[in-house]
Amino acid sequence: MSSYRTEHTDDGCRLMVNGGLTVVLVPELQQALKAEVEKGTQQVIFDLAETRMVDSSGIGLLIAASNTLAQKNGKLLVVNTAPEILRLMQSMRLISRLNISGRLAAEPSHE
Amino acid sequence: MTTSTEDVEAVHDRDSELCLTIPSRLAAIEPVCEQIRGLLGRRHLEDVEFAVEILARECLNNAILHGNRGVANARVNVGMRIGRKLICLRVTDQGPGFDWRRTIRHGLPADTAVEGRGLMVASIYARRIAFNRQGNQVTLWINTAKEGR
Repeated sequence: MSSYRTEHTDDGCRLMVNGGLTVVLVPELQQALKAEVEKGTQQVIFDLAETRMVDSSGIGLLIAASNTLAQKNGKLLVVNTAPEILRLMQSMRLISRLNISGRLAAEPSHE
Repeated sequence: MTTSTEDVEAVHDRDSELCLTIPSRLAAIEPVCEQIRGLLGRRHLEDVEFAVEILARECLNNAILHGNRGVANARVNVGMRIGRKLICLRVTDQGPGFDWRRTIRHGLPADTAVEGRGLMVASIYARRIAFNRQGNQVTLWINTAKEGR
């Protein structure tokens, strides 16, 4: 079952999606984003560290969020994106549009 | 409203084939995807799991939100067959269908458009996409070998 949680920082808010950024979760996220924008949040970070799946509804939500924040001189960032989702976003030419970055590789261990 | 696994009726489930009938509710998509992942896992096709699952989700979303809209007690049929080189996925709704030719002619959505990317996603992962004449059934073929992208 997909879910999300929100963290607020000095810079804005971070939405951490667990499971799937898909059609079932989109209405809840829309409401959460609307509330953030209405109280003046300038930066929204979608943290996809625990997200394994997206669909076109989820992608549409990211685009809508980006459009809305841009109108208010705000910014959307999408971070910790899984490799498969990153490849999809590359194919759809959305990487720079949505400020998408992948997951950092684990630091190599040193003996 | 949640959908229990009892609502997902498996017509038959063999090692290479899946055939399900589900209620036309978004909550019914997740159990279908679990079964798809299970079958792909049993066939050691984890490499194409993301591709097949996202395609199934797009087709099911469309069938439920658009295809069956307004049809009381509607169901959606989902079939998947794994061949040697191709996986065939078919989703059928009970609605009147849509003018898929017009949708294809319309082309890609604008960069800032929020909707209309389902076919774009499908074209990225499916080797071939076909609609029936009525427009209430879509069939996709996916390579079993993961393509470099």
